[in-house]
Amino acid sequence: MTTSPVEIPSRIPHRIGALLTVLVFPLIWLGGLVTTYDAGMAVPDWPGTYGYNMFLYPVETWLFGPFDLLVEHGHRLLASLSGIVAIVLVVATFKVEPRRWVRWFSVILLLLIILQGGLGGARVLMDERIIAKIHGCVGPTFFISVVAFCVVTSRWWFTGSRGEVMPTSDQAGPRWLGRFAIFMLLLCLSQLVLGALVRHVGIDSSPRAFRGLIFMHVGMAFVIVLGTIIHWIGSRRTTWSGSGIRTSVNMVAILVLTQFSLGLGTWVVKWGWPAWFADQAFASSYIVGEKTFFQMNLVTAHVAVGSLILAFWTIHAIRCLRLNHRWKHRSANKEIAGDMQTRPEQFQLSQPTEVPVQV
Amino acid sequence: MAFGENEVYSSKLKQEVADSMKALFGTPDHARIPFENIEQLVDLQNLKLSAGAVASDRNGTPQGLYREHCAQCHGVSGNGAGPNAAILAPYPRDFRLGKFKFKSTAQRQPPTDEDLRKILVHGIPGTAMPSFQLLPEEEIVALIDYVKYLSIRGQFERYLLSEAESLSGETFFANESERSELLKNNIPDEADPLTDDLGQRLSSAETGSQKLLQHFQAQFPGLLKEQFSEYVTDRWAQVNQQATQQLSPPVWLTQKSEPLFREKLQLGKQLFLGKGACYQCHGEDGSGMGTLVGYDDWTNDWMKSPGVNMNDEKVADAFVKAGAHRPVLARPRNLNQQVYRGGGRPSDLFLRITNGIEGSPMPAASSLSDEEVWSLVALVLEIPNSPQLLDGEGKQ
Repeated sequence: MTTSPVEIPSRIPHRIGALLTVLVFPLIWLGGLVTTYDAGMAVPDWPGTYGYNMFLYPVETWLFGPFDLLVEHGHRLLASLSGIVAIVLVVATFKVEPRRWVRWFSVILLLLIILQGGLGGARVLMDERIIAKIHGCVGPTFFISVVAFCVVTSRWWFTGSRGEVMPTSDQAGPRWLGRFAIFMLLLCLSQLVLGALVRHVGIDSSPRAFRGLIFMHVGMAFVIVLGTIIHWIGSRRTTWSGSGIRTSVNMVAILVLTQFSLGLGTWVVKWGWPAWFADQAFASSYIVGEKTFFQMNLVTAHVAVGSLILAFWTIHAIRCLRLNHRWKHRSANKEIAGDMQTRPEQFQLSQPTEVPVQV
Repeated sequence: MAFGENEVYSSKLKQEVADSMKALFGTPDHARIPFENIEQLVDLQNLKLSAGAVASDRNGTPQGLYREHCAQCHGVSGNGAGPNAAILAPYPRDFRLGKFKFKSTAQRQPPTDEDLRKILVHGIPGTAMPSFQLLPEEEIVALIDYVKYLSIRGQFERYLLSEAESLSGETFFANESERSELLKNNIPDEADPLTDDLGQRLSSAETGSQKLLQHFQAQFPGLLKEQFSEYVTDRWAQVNQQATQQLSPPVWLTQKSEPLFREKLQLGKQLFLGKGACYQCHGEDGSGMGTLVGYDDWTNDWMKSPGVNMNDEKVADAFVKAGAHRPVLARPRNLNQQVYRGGGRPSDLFLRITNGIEGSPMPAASSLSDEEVWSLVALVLEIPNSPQLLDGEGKQ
């Protein structure tokens, strides 16, 4: 075990990362809406828009033209803005962040968003469904990477949610929580890939293959709900009070239950009630409304909340792993905790301070 | 992209039929209609809006409407086997049989454009068929024409496959040069200038598809003239010109004027449980739990042949593997729910009873007079309000 003096870094990369997160979530929503509305080919050229430089395309034609053009061009503009913010993030991180791996993390984020933009362009130029599927999966991957960046540059990473260096308890938190959270994150990522396959299914695919796919997606949803309940109970029982993991696991649980309901809703608004409900008047009188505002947004919400779940599993998993790591090195942490009580002025985060922190 | 073959048939000339179909009707990206009465059948510009991949121009003019709105369930060729089909109940319609359930025309007659429009605009309650009421009228009309195109194409394919069975040889053509002239050089592909402009009247006698059609006419004398023209294209072309029967429900029904209304309800009940034999499928209480159940024609098309036991799981599996949907019994309507898939107005119910529901086990009530049918309509509309009407007594 080694300790090294590390300057608690500037908050700027974290704030830019948070801005990027705030931009990328609506970007994912808008991207979902592009697919839901079949607007992927509303603008046939790329990177321009109908021959214009993307940024110079007339605003009135964009805002008051066809809805699919509004959505697709809006998706492109927001993506470009996110790309610019990602560049700023790299510059700022290299300037103020002392941890080398965090600097390179910001570069990876930039490369990911460039890749995602390129995939978006290739999807339009080649009109290929497989690229649409990959584009639909890389988007959430980028989103959770940005979220992970925010966690490792956050105040919490150094001090925990109440400002103390934790865990201070001698009792170990359940060590399986971190590993299980990673497992759940991977499970949710697989579920998202399955969802992308369902959503972008080719019109020449066989009904049997699609049925297999949709049953896997539904089956996986049940497994995720069960896993989330188990993890929620485990996290609630931990002695790591004040560590913030209860908040993150609560968010995961709320979102997973919301997502499950949205999934049921998506089925109903797209295909009507399943045959088991045939005897119920509400089901037999239900008429599916094609491309209604409600249908479009409910289906898109199902896509977007999927990404949000991944984001919160990411936060939660990193927190659990970080806490396990801290607990393993608790002697040093206790020392720091003692220092915090005797010399609290050194732990003011607003002032960059030299503190011995296990990194 | 190509239209899939009709898997119901196994024919040694399947490839020959597929190539001929491509030469005559084009591809999912480039639709053709080779018949002379084309203007009466469909508008080529509507086919252009509906065919091809989903896209739109900067003015919002769409392309690929069929793939955007329909193909996920009904399939590219209209075979009712799009990717979503297997999880839906009931299964989506296979247009290639030329049978449509909810229409104002008699059995074996195609529906009018207005019939198809109603279904597209209002959807079908309790099924996955959505309401497209948010689509502009011109897009609805374009989809109607494309559905007609797929239906006509599918029916022609069936005739051709069935004629091919009568041939002893393995080709439609006398020699390779005839084949090449009529077929090979006439199949549209991306580079084929013929397909660039759909506005070209491909029904013109000069086009290759017309020559191919003439070839088939000579080879199979009955195919085009007697079978296909009479039963398919002529009927589709003329159905909109036929005077639609204006249906006005009798005053006693609309105003529920007593005592006539009560008398008619009693007559309806007697018919339901007696001469009309409605109870056999709909149950004595109208709950749809009768003893007589059957499969629809789209399932029968695959499996109803001598010696096939459709209830045998192994048999069903074999058919499903070949491309059929797993057979599901057509469930008669639960009349207690006040939900009618083809519309709930008295005139809609009158048509359902008089003409039956084509393709389903619901037969046409050909032996009933109009007055008797209106009495049944009154009963059906009244059952949800007065379930005691059908107490099971009075069965004859």
